[in-house]
Amino acid sequence: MTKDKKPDMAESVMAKITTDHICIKSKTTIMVGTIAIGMGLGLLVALSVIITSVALHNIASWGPFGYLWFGVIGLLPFIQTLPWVWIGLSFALILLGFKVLKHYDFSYRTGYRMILLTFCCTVLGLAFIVDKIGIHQHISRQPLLRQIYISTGDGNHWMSGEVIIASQSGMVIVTPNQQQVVIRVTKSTKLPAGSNFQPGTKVQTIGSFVDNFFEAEGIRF
Amino acid sequence: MDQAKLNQLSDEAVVDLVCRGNQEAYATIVKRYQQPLLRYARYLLSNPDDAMDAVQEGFIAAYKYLNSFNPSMKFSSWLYRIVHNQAMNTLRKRKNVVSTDELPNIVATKINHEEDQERRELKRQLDNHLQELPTKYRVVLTLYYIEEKSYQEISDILRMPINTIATHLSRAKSQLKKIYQMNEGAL
Repeated sequence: MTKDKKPDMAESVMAKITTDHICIKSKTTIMVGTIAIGMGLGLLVALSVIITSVALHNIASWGPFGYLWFGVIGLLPFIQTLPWVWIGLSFALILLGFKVLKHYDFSYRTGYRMILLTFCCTVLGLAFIVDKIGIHQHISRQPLLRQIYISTGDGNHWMSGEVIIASQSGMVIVTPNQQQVVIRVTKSTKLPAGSNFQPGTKVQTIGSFVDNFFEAEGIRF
Repeated sequence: MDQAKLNQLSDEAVVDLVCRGNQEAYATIVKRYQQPLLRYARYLLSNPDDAMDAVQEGFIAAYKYLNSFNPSMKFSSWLYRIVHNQAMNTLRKRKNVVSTDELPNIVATKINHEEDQERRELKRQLDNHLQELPTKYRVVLTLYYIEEKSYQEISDILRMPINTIATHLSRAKSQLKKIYQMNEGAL
């Protein structure tokens, strides 16, 4: 019968500490580390707010949800005009922020659901405020940063923008990407909201290009 | 300070001595916790060598960061937390669970006759079927029934809300009972 020998770890641990010259990290070093993590978290929150506000701003200006109003035909424009990259980045940053927060003592005592909910609400609330303040309008005028706000989802079969000229036979709109497009209204164009388009009205349309004109199958505003 | 006097000091007092430069006093901490931590690590890792490595690395990491220990928490919880992290890193690297054959039969010897019936019964079931449970349940059960930690201590060690601990414990008990009943039925 063999008897388990209890290992004396104290000797080996102390020997390792001595031979490897392992030192206790000073309070200052630990504090610097804590501050650095805190600052990192602050930057992460700021970045999450900025990215989320860009996502909100782009959703508002590209209007992906409006295309759903056209029914099944509006699904493709909806998918293509939704700012996936910004939404994805926003989610990733929020999750990263939550993961960092989880390492703080208060988080597991408060409960993770509450922390996640509070963090999401804070980021969304601040992002909404940042968008409403009009920072994005200002940034979108900067040549280098304009790219952030340019929709990559403009297709040949859908269009959105602001009416600058309106007539019985059609209208001219300016897209969020600052392109002017002539929209032609035909007898078959569905205008469930009426045809009383005025300059300044924001419209969304589906159809196709015919001879450099966008022939609308449906228009909503 | 001689060993007899060191043995009478609380963990926090010993840690204070170590932080003030009495490096040798740290051996007292290691001696106090090596057995319970090894037992805990063995339950998580099912391999005595891996458990030994995880605990040793845990003691060294704890030594390095002694100054970050928050006295509002129990020192033992802090130490368990460090060893738990080391064990989890080993598990992640390994990604496979070893059979129960390697488990030391510690539980039976630890049964205190004054303990309530449920605890004793669960300890017996734990000893036999613990390795069949998912890690998250195994950890909670080990800490509660084997290491006899309170909900608050488990919460501090695993950094989970107390409600989650209670839920995991309840689900773990229920799963363990199912496993137990299935195995009993098969006999």
